[in-house]
Amino acid sequence: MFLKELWGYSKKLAVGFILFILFWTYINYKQGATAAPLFQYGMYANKYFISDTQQVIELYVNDKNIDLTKYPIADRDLLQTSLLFFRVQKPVNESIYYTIKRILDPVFIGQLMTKDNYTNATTDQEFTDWYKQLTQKIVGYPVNKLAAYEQKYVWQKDKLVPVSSPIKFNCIVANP
Amino acid sequence: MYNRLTFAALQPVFFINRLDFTKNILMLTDLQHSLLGSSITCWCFDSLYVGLPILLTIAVYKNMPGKILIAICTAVFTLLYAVFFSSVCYISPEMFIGFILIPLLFATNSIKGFYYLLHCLRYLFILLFVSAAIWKITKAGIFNAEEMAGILLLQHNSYLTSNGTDSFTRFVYWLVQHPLIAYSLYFLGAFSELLFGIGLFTKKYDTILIAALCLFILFDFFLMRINYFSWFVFLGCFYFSRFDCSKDDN
Repeated sequence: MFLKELWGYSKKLAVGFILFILFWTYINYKQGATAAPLFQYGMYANKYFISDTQQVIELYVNDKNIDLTKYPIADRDLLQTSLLFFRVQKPVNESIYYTIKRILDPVFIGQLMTKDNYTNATTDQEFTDWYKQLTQKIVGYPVNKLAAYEQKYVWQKDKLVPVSSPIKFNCIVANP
Repeated sequence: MYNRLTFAALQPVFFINRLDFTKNILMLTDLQHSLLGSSITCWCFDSLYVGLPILLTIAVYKNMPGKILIAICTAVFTLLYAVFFSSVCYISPEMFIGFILIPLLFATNSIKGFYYLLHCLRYLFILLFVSAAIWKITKAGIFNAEEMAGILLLQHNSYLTSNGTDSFTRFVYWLVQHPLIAYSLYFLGAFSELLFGIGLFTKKYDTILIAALCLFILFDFFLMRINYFSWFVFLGCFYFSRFDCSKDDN
């Protein structure tokens, strides 16, 4: 048996291996926080339905809705996720800070955690400037005007159709 | 690097946290703000991320004395890089697991040590893969006939709404219109993940597992446009499992 052979070869390695598996199993059993490199691999395990509302980002460069499918997958994902992440980073970072601090306070580590360390000081203008540069690099031409909207779609009559009005991403600051 | 997804290329201006203990403990160093504010720090991180594996390769090839230390440093730094990179980019840290663990294979000077480390990593990867199937059962995704159809719409919603006539769009729409056919693909994927469990009991079918992993990664890329190519590094654990040097060093 492998564990027996491993124990015979090196007790330290055997203990390390067993502990790794035990902690990893615990992390997966709790289904909450992870502890890199102990990750959870439950992607696309929850239930998803055809009737789910889809939220699609529409990017307007120089007043034109750009077709993101023309660009490589990595660039497309970067443009979309950067917007989504920036929009939620403040509440997400704050929530995680308090959650982790509460758990680590009893072991002193939480007391070392200061909120400033876990918070972005980035303004919407700074993000807009960065996002503009990123978009320019990806589309390959100067970006003078930039706007992003989130449009909801639902599955109807064998295709995705838009529903309700698009919501503007306010983190993209309008040009002066 | 091919997709310009590095700290230096991104020059990030914000980070997003994750519910991860290791990450939050590492954030005590405030490296996350250093990376936002400094090109030099970004370049250093990227250089080490590329340089350490190259150094490790040279150290292993030439059997240099510091090989074990370099192997451990490579694994630890890759973990550090993964944790911070996932906070400035959409690449999740799970994608780096191969690059974090595989350098540890070389943290030994003996063939026997290499053999045991190889098998440890082999078992860890099998458990990782099987756990993905178990998640699908416990979260009930596997019991939902519309599962794959729903996932395809979620994964490709931007593509489908931008490009209505593309062949890929038509293919995805066809799968969504035939949800049971789409579901069969999801079921096959979950089944192949569960299939890896056989590797816990025998090495006889490792060749089949190699084929299953390759197919899984390729299908995931072409159908879901998700890049799991970094997991190919684990193929070596299955390919070399046929060699048995548990008895001696020869």
